[in-house]
Amino acid sequence: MHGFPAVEDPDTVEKSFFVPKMCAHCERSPCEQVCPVGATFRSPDGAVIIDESYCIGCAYCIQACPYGCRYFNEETKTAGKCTLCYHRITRGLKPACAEVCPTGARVFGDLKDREGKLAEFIAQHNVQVLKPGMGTFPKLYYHALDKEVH
Amino acid sequence: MEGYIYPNEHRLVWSVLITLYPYITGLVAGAFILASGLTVFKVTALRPTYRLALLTSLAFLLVATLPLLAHLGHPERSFQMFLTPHSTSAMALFGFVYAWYLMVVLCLEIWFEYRADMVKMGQQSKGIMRLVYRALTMFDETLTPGSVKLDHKIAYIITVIGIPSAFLLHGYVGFIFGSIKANPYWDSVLMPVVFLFSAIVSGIALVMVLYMLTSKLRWTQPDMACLDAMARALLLALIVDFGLEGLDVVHRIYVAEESIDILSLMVTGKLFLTLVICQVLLGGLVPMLTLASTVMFSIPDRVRKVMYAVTGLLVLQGIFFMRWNVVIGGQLFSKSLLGFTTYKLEMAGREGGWMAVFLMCLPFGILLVLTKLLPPWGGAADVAGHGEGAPLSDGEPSLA
Repeated sequence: MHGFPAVEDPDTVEKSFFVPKMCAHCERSPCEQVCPVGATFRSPDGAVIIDESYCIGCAYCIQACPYGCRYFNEETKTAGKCTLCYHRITRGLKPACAEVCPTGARVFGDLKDREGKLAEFIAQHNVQVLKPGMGTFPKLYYHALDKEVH
Repeated sequence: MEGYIYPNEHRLVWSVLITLYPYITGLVAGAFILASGLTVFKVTALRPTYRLALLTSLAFLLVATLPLLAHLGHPERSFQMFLTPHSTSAMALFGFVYAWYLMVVLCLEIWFEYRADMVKMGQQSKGIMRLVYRALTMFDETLTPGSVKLDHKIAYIITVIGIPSAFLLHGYVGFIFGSIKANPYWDSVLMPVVFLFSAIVSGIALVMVLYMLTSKLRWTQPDMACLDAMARALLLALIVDFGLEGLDVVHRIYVAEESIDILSLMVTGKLFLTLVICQVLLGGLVPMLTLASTVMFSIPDRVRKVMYAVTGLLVLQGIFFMRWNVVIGGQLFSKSLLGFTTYKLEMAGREGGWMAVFLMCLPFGILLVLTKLLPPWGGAADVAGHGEGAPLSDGEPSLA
């Protein structure tokens, strides 16, 4: 992979921006649904995680994810995914990406906690999810998302 | 890469081996459905190919899992699909569907179909072959008219069960793709039905080509009535298959969902050769017109045979490219619907082109062994006193 090709004529670009694409830990997760051995599963607290020691490496989950968030790990020969830093959040810590974000752009919290920071953010801002028509009920919300983002 | 794709899409995760998987299972199901044409649908003209179709189906079924195993990151863990199948996964059922079809349908049907012949061949063989045939008959040499009749009755029942099983086997393979809503190219309720009819098409074409090839190798003339019957069945299946795929295309164009633009670009660009030329034109329209001309016009046998052979080969490549277009084509565009990636077929390696060639050749080697062990064209029948092409055991193969 050599990266994305350079834009030949920058003047044709209306605007440019970055959109982080993380696993949405969907409520109705297609990757969890299709895993033939249950190696991708939902934890009791709602995170969709994977047991790499059980994954057979069929890549069906990669095909099923509408958001391009599953990938094949060439080293372990298994499918990989964001675990929402499960080892951290179960100890009361934030996921590493939310922890280190210098501008605090990532808000992490428990969706069931009505008094929490996340619920407060969602209540006070216009947020949306990617590809809502897929019926996956993502738990990753974007604030001020551009229409170009798929 | 062109346009904007997700980071995990630069490399296709399902390679040419996954193309072989539906192709081979389609040949299995199609050959079996053709064989059932004689026993269940009473198309007696198909008698000369009945056993060849069964053995072809078995030879390909024995190989059907190998492309999948070669593709898996951890093939040694594949048994987990049997031990802890995930009930919501379409793929989890594959092992069970496969085992059902192999053990309950094909092996049992072939065993009952050949049991009387295996007893006779065991009695007339010497040395290791005698032991092999005796072991295959489980050291039971009962050959009374009642037992032979019972064999045929059971084989008939298994064929009746086998038809929906063959439908299940390949319709299910189509469902594995058709149920992926994340991929607009695959996401279609028609996918299982299209897969099923394309399977029938490919199975008939394969047996037709094999029948002509084996006749030539054995210096015998193929039965023209049989070839004509297969050609008509192929034409019918082609028309239905073509109609269903056409319906899918028309529906996609008419409803013009969000993905229509990128799919149109793909079909007219990256897939033009494999889809428009190889699949639709050479694998669909040309064979249909050729077969239709053999029905409409009086064409000499010799020319008709050449037409059937060419048509069969064209159909086989057309269905292969149909699988290619589904599996590879379905991964060439980004799920962002804003870009394309490229598939470069590497020849070496576990998922390479040479492995694909080997896996496609392997069923023919297995079929050769099977036809030596269980001659489908009257080799042992000559011993038993039957004529060329006649069923080995009795006058009516597998009829109740």
